[in-house]
Amino acid sequence: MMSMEIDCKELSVREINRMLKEAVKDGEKKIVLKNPGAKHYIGAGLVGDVEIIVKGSVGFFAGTMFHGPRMVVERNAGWFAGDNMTDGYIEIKGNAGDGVGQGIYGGVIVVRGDAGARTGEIMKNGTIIIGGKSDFMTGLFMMGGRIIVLGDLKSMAGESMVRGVIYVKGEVESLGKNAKLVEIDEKDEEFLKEILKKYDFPAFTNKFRKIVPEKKRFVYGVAPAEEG
Amino acid sequence: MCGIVGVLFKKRRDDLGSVVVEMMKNLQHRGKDGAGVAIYNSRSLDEDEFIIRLEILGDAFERIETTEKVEELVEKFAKLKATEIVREGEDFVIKDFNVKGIDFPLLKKLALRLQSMERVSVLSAGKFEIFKDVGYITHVDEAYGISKKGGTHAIGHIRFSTESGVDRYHAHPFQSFLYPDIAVVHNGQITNYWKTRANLEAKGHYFTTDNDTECIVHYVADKLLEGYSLEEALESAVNDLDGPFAFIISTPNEIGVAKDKLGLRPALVAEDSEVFAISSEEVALEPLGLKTEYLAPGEWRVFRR
Repeated sequence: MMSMEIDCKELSVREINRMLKEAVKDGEKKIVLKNPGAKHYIGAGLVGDVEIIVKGSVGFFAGTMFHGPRMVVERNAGWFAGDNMTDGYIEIKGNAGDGVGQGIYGGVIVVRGDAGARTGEIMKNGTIIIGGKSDFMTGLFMMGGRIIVLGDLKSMAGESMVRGVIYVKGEVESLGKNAKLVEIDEKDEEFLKEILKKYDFPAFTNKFRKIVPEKKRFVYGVAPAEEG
Repeated sequence: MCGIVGVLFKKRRDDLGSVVVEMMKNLQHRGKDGAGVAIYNSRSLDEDEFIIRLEILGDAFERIETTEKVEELVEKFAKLKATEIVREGEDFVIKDFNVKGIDFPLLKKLALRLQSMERVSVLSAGKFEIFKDVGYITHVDEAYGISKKGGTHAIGHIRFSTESGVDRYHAHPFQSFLYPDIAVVHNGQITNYWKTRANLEAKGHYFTTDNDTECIVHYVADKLLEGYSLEEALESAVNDLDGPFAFIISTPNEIGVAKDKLGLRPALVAEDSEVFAISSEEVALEPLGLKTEYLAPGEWRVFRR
């Protein structure tokens, strides 16, 4: 299948994003971005069924508010990759900065290298997989979804999380408020085996544990009876 | 928001100014209130020779009058080798006073005396040069010719002002006269500014602005004076300073970067055998083509020539 190519070198972010939008409207299925130069907001607000290959690094807010596209970044991402996305797939082959997948409602974000601080902050749903370590306050204020970290988790993991789960294979430096580290069950094992295979990560081992919220409404004390 | 950059070459480069300006152009979106660069070893000076860069305000007559007073004062401390107008406008002049036959402690006294003069602000005093002004980096570069400067290392700042005035004097980098040729560029806020300032002032250190960034450079200079290494001074700064920050400190032979414990401001580093570079964003490091690495919350790094 032929793919469309955009050389970003002399283009502004607005021009790049307009071209992407037009291409998707015209039914383009695969777009290659050359010389992205770590520019910010690549693909912001893009809706549709399209594959985007980025031949380099992206800046802040890459793929923010995505609904549907699949984007593969061949180098690094700045802060807030995939911010607020509702559906789609973002893969970062290098490292990512802070706030990967903050506030996502859906979709999958894969970081092959390390992630910065506050990965998955206030995420509501969706899945984030970090191949390396994830820094300080991973899953801060997490409200749902899954974070899988194959490396270590730095301090205050799961700080003030109220829903969702963080699976971790490496060491956990320390837990945040309302977060507890527990063993995984059969259902978790099944889920991990499948998703690791699907996204081409090393196979499941029994080193995995998970971090879940201690209470679902810890700030207000008593949880309503119907909570689930 | 602010953008910060730092670059240190192992060997002197004639194109250092243009390298740092290009890096800063890529961070222009982080602020539009000012831009500034501190550049080291851009000029060849004797051991007892220094450059004092002053901003003198007023109409043409007032400027001549003030310049005469400045020269009079300078000559009480040192030999005035030469003067040079760096930039001149309707109501200001930026002028270099090349002084000889003086050491750093005396230069510090002279700088503080000049600072206390009416219509006079010291923009930098030492062997290095600070260029700073309001506006975009392209405008500041056009006005001061930063990209024509060579040197060994430099730090740069793109300003998005938050707590203090938008003028030339409040643009970064800031210098401390406590320690020779030390400067800082900073992205963020120091929330225990008044307490930090009070502690430093109690030790007799002199603040020239109400900008929170200034207290970082005095804080680090104070530690260096106490015999700390730059690494130790940065570790101490990360523990003692509150608020969101990423800052770069430069001295005559090193640059160091530190990031707050909550990791609320970005900073990346990149290095190879020839160069070490720091930036707020990868976009500024792209032209160097090096592998980049984010600093972790509370982390600091120091690089020496």
